Amino acid sequence: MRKLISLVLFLATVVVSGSFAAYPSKTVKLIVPSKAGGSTDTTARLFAQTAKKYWKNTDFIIIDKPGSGGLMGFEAEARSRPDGYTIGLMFTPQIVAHIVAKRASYTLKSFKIIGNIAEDPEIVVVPAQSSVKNLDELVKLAKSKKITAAVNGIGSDDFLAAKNFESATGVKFNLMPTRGSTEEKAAILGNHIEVAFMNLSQMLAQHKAGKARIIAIMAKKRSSVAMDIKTSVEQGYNVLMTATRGMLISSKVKKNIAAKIEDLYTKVVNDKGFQAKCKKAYIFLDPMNSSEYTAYLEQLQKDTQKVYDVSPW
Amino acid sequence: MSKKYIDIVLSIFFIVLAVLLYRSTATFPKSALFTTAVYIKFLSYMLAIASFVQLVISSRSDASIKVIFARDPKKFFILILSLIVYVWIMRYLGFILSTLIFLPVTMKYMGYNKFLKSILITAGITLFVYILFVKLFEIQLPEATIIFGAAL
Amino acid sequence: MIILDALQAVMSVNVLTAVTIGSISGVIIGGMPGLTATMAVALLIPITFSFSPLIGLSLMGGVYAGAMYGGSIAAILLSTPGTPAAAATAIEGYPLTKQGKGGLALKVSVIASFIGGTFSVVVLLLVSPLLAQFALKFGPPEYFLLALMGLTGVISVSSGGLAKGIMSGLIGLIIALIGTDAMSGMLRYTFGIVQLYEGVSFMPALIGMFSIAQMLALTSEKRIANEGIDLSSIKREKMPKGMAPFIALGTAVGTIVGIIPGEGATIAAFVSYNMAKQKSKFKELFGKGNPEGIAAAESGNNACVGGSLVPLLTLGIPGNTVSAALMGGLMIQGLIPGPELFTKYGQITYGFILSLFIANIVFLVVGLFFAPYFARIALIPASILIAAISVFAVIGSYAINNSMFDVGLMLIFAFGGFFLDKLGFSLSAIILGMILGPIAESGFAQALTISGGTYGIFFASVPAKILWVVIIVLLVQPLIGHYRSRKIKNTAS
Repeated sequence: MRKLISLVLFLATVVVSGSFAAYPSKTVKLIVPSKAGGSTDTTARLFAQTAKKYWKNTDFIIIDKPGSGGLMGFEAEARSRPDGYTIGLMFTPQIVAHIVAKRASYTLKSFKIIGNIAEDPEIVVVPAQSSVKNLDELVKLAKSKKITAAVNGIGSDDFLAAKNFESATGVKFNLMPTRGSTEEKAAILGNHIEVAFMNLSQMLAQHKAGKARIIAIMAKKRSSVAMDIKTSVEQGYNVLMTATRGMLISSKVKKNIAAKIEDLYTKVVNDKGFQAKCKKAYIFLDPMNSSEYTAYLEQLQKDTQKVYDVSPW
Repeated sequence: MSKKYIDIVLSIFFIVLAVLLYRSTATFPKSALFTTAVYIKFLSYMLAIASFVQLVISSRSDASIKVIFARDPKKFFILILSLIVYVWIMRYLGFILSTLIFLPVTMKYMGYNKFLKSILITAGITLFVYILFVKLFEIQLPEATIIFGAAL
Repeated sequence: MIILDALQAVMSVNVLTAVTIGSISGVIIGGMPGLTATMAVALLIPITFSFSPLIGLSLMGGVYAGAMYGGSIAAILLSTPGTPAAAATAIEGYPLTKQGKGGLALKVSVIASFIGGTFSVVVLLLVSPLLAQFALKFGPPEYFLLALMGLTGVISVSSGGLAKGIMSGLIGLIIALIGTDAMSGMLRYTFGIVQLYEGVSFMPALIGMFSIAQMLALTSEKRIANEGIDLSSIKREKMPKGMAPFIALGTAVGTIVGIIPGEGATIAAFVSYNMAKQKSKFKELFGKGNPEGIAAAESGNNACVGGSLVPLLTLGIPGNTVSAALMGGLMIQGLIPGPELFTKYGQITYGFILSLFIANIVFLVVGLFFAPYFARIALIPASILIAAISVFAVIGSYAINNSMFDVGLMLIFAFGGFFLDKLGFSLSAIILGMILGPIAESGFAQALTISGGTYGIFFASVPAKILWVVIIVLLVQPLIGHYRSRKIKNTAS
């Protein structure tokens, strides 16, 4: 028992002395609200690797908290100790979709948004065997018969994109929610369904190999990695959707510490090595600073609310 | 305890569960009605049938057959209790401290009387887990929230 | 000739070292609940930038192959499956350990794992593009039938009567309903608990029902091995005869099931186990320690490793979470899944495949060498084991999702599972239901979405028809068996 008490005292001393040191003096935790090995996880690991270059004496560890479309992770980030040693990864539109669907106990106000790192634009993809070559033909087909469209879960970016597309064109899909993008991929490559709403990185390789056809990218401008794919706007459909992956901390973190984290973020996203690695890993960088990204998220929440009000989930 | 009566109670419990499950599908939204609701209804039919068959089998069975849950009830209940306490204190003391308490205490009550060896084993296991999980795999083990404040 | 080039590349000191390290760490990861091959691959991804592609990939491939085998070690010795795919192995392995035959069980497991793993890599090497076309034939209705095929295993694992076995399977399927309704996004049976929105995770359930429940049973013993078994008999165990047909069966099932994306290894292990029981001359020994069951289950789950890489390399469809993480590793090296992998980047791809052979050889040597030492765990005093395994079970259920909630869940499953087990319910059937439930449900719901509500879709395709035949055979045979054994019992009494 005496040993135990002395151990407790020892640990307490270590902690107390540690908390007076200048930030950052301890290990920084990066919370990833999804599974190990996924694209958000890889983004975080590459970020940590590069961040180590700028904060030489600080260690970074990745904590994966998967579950419920990121909700478990977002909640943990909102509850985290506001000492600046916990930085959260986040992705849209799920982070606002949970607020809109009244599942979340946090709001956007719970966070100080650091900035966006990457984006993955939404695409419309059909099987290689399909006769559909563009959005016009897709709408024509959908009006002639009931066609099945796969989306990755309800309330996801895919789902919102499909719903927005439906309301913009007046068609009605047979919506087939899947458990993960792998199922969507298998269903398209195997020609089991007519169309799927997915993210660019998930189908780009298959598109280039001619095993599936991406007929539109739901963005204002084409993607530099696939210049042959026309945007939805070019084809006359003003339906936009993208998944962004950014960074946040608790809103209660002190201003001077938050500024240091923002500075680190800026250094990392402008790092040439980081940029090169992300390119290889199919992570499309799209940095947005704190105020731009906060405004983006607030607008996104309003847009998502509109979809929810029409067809709640 | 007589196996027959436990079986009968459990079978009735599962029949009730099946009924509740069936009734829950009534409130499902339209988009689930002809898909997942059908699946759940099917499961509830199957459960009701299997439980009913079990009920019939049990009610015909011999009431003298007893179930022995533990041949050493003292150790059995101590283990259950210590597991619950272990997980409970982990929320406050974190993984390392609570394991340093749990291991020697449990070993002692399970009948291991060599004090020095049990301390060595405790230290060894805790160190092994710490190196493997924290150092090699970078997994954050539960922290001592009493010392460090609110956890994740 | 590209294969010869690849062979030369593999035979370098660096690559061989990487495979060996990968495979051995894989065995440790697989044997330790809470550590997964997926985590290991994710940790390796940022590091592999600094390696040549082949070294990075063979390291990851080694982990994958090693972990699949490693899951069986703790399953056999401590009834603590490190991976869900090893659950079927625990059903036969742990009783053997109790009889003092843990060394034998480990030997059967490592040899079966090696043969299953190696054969599936041969298949991957020779005919992947062809098989990828087969994998694509599987749509939602076929996934539903595949899950149904796995669920027929409930009959084989039910020891306390058929009705209770089926009830157990249904309990598992019903637990799997908890969470978000996949079709509507509605929450069902979650009682407002946020942690249940995603559903009940099955690793805590598996650890609770297999591992802790066995530790509760062990409180009334002095050690795992029954009284009167001495050390010398554990050391000198020969490989039993007659395992070949069961290994062949598991290998065939595992390779085929592995090619189809979806959590294949667990299905493959249980289907192989189920078929082995139907085929065996010693049916009554199943559940009481029959090495035939281990041979089939272990060759089955290891054969999935090669199989699962077929759709990954040719189509970019990862069959499970490990291969999804592996795909990240491939892309970072500029290796984009598709036909080019086998031509332009052939040297690396074939090198990677060949390194998997070596990974299998590494774990074979390690497994055979350490089997007699590992087997001595059965002689450690129960008092130490109970305490130690409890710690590993707690930390293992925590580490999967970094969640204390999962630890609580693990305890509930342990206590509830122990109670149900004593009454003759089958914990394996509950686990099987929990794992296959989501696959069955989403396959069923998606198929009906595609067909607009008509059930003809479940009988339409050729694979669907074949699956129905297999399901019926797997159902009818054991039902006749159950009926016969009851008849014999009745006439005897």
